[in-house]
Amino acid sequence: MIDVLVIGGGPGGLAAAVSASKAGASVMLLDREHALGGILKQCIHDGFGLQRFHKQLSGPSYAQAFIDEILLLPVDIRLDCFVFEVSCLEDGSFRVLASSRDGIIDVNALAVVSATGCRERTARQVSIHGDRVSGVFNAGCIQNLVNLHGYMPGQRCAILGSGDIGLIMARRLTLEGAEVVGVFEAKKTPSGLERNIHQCLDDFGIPLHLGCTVTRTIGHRRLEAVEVADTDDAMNPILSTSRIVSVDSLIVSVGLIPEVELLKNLPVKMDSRTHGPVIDQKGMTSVPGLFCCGNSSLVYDLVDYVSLASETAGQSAAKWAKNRGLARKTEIQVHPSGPLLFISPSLIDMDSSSVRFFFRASEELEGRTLTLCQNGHEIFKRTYSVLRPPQMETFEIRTELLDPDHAVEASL
Amino acid sequence: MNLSALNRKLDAISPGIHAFIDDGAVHIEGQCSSYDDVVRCGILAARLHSRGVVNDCTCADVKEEPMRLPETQDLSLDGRSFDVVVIGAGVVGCAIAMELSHRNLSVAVLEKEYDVAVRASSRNDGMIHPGIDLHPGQRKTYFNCRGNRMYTDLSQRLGFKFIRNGSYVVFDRWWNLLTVPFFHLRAAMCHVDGVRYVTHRKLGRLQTSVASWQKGAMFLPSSGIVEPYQATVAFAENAADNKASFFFDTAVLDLICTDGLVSQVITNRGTIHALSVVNAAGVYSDRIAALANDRFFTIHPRKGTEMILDKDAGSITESVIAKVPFSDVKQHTKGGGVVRTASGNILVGPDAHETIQREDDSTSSQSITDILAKHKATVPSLDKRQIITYFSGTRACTYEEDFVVERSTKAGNLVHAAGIQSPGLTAAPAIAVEVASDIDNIFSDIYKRSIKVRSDAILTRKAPHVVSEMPLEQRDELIRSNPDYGQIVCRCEQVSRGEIIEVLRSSLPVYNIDAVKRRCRCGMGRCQGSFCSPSVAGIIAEEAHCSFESVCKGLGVFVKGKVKETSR
Ligand SMILES: Cc1cc2nc3c(=O)[nH]c(=O)nc-3n(C[C@H](O)[C@H](O)[C@H](O)COP(=O)(O)OP(=O)(O)OC[C@H]3O[C@@H](n4cnc5c(N)ncnc54)[C@H](O)[C@@H]3O)c2cc1C
Ligand SMILES: Cc1cc2nc3c(=O)[nH]c(=O)nc-3n(C[C@H](O)[C@H](O)[C@H](O)COP(=O)(O)OP(=O)(O)OC[C@H]3O[C@@H](n4cnc5c(N)ncnc54)[C@H](O)[C@@H]3O)c2cc1C
Repeated sequence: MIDVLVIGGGPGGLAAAVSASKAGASVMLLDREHALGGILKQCIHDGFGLQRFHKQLSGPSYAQAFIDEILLLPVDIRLDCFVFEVSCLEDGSFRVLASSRDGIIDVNALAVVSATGCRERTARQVSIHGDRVSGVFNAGCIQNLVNLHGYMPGQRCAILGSGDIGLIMARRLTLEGAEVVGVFEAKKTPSGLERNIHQCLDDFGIPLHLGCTVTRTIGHRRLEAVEVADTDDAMNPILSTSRIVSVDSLIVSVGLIPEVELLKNLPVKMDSRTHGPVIDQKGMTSVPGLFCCGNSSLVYDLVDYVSLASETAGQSAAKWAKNRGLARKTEIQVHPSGPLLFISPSLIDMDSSSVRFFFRASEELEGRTLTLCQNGHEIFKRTYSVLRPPQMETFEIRTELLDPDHAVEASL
Repeated sequence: MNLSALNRKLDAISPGIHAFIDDGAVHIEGQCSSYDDVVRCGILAARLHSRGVVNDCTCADVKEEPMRLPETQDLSLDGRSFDVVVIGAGVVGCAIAMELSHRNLSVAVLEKEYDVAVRASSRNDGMIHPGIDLHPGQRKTYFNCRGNRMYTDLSQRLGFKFIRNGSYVVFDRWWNLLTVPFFHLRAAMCHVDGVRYVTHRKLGRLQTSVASWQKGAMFLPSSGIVEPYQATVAFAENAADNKASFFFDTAVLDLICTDGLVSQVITNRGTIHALSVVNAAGVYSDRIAALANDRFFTIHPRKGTEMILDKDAGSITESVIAKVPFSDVKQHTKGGGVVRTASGNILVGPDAHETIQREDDSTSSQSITDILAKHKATVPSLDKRQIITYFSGTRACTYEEDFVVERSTKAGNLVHAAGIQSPGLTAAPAIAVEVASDIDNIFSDIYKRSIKVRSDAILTRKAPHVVSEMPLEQRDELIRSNPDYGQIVCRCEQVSRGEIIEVLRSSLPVYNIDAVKRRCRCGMGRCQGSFCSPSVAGIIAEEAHCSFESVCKGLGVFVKGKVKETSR
């Protein structure tokens, strides 16, 4: 029986495993890939680590800092191990099954930390229709092909969606000699970070078409063109504005969703706003002993916050394994209202001394105030000069300020 | 109706349209203003109940696109000769090739696409229909009933998944209940076994996602499902195991007839000599017939769109929830509805639209919206957000709305398996038996050769491994014998490297990302291949000893060249 089993060796899983091991737990980490680092392996651009290391690192160097640390600790790391089942045993411990080249791995653990990252929404999920041709990709797939395998999707690319990965790939493809004819975003505001709009598009003269979407793919063997159209306020295309743009590849960057596949056969409550599980500030889900952190709990904007939250999850998992059976005694719920895309955690464990909140606004707002109230009493308030959906905000409060008998109303 | 009445009615649709009888078939000619009118004229002409309708009417509003041809141009097949040449590697052509390959005959299958089951045979519901909504006298009914029964044995022998999960035909009006005796009558006439009425209350218990306002249903236990491409691949691989030759990227461009027999088959890869020819060319089967001067039917393609929901929606039903067929008799959609697929997804569809384009696979958001709205009436929990993919196919319909399975009267060694619209997937094995016996007769009549099933014919095929469905110990054992089965490549469907390599080393390997996907589901899950397609392309390149850049996904290359040398 191991104390803490961590699924995923990206920045989330690495930070959780490191902190759990440092807290004295026996730790096993499983990842399906051949190397540690998660999605950061393919993020060769810089911009990681400003908060944590106060310098601009590339994705692989950011991950390396944690890999160097974990290799010095007694963590049992198993790579090329695909976890396909997590189940809850009668005594409250977990059984984890994984497939590896050496056979099936079947282990028991007192606590499990799920740090399986996120996946991208596909072209089909945003209803792209038209001819069925080769040449339509997800941005993450292109990042993998270009950065890890050295292949180009095409020579004339259109990008649908202004998510960060799409913006970064627009620059990368341009640097590799492809022509990026434009980034098309159905909304009136971009969904990527402002710095990426400047550094990836403006600096390279790549046009950003806001309020404009791809309506159809056209081609016979490979993609030959896309039809684009302006959108109305409800984000529906205005057919009279449609026009044909000739391209040989379409790269879709329309959002990330937490990967929660493994949690599905467990009685885990889900958060309809984050699309991850309901978690408390320690990352514990509604199943005692099961923790979730990193992008599989909610989609973060900066990896620095992933590390921060995952460290807490790792420590808490170690503590939970040590004091086995010690479930949350008092918990209170957090109810969001107003233009909040999400606020996490949605559950507060009153046993720990503080709570770090993360939230995103659902639209661009200026001079708005976020308040936390309990039973009409204001607990916390902060005014933001500007809030943008791509940018996550975070703040911390002490739990002693909270009344254990009432839910927290978070409003923007 | 007689010919002059028909001519009057045609003239009313569009002045100048003219019908005449030739060789037992009714031919219509003239210019219509729209393609819809062309179809209306054809439907009218079918009411003459002649041998068939040949619709030569043209229209001004849309132009038919030419047949999509392979890029290959060589002479690699020039001068080859075979006892039987089968044109088309859809489910019908492959089932026929399998049946013939068991005999003392040399068989070649010519397919213009890069793989089997690229056209209608992979673009359908995968339902093995009970056949209750068919007309008792039709050929469709005969072949459907026999084909349906053959699937149990075929799936066991050839190792593909077939589940007889039954279907519910749901009544949405109380008056529909009056048709229950009619259902029983039809069932008896069409030999559909086990049909029974399910009360409103029982339906609510058995199918919890069916709207509570539905008024009961007929349950048809003989209805089943397959993955249509996997069934086609199983037929084709068994044919290949028995030495049938498959030539992909090979289009039949012309047939040369001498003395009332087809003697040569002209392709983009040279001229092939054939002692007999089978026309299983789907939407182009009327054109193939025309090449042999045998014009007595016309295909009018009918497009259908389907959508696939995430496996999370699988709890909606274990079987099929269909609407009563009377609500849209005019639509000619056979079955369909809300279908649990053999792999556990939910499929919703199809719709039916006449189109002049024979190979139009494009989809539109309007179709998706309409189909969803239609089926939400029976299953309210259908959710647009659970759609992971959608696709369209075209049915090869004749104006008689029936199959053409017969020896040609113009070329004595040609057999048609033409106009195989829905339920062609169900009917295919039975059609194959019939066509094979026609071929037997051709050889004994014309060539005085007696054709037999060889004693050494291979009648079984090993089911491919599916690690995600194996019991743990067995899976562990397999991995220990071959570690590739432990390395998961497709995360959504949990397909291992071993399964992909197995597919690429089968008796009929096709080195294409989409071909691998159809065979082992790699890339069919919710991420639609965004994670695994680079790895699959890599494995294909290794197995085919080709470069990564030459690997195709469908008809087009997957990537276009490398990054600049300096950046690596
Ligand atoms: C394509 C893509 C590109 C991105 N680019 C950027 C960027 O440029 N800048 C930025 O700040 N952020 C980027 N992000 C966000 C980035 O993912 C996060 O900041 C951070 O990497 C999340 O860390 P994580 O550990 O939660 O997830 P990941 O880094 O995704 O790690 C998850 C790990 O879990 C493993 N895993 C998952 N399921 C299983 C299983 N069943 N069994 C075993 N192992 C499993 C995976 O193989 C992976 O190694 C990107 C995200 C994606 C999806
Ligand atoms: C939306 C939809 C749903 C359906 N649902 C069902 C169902 O649930 N159950 C059921 O039983 N049936 C169903 N059907 C019907 C079924 O799919 C078809 O009847 C069946 O696939 C026909 O098989 P085929 O081999 O005749 O045609 P195809 O699969 O179209 O094969 C014909 C082949 O011939 C090739 N070809 C054509 N011309 C040439 C040439 N000149 N040279 C070389 N090759 C050529 C084509 O490329 C093609 O691959 C459905 C059909 C549709 C469209």
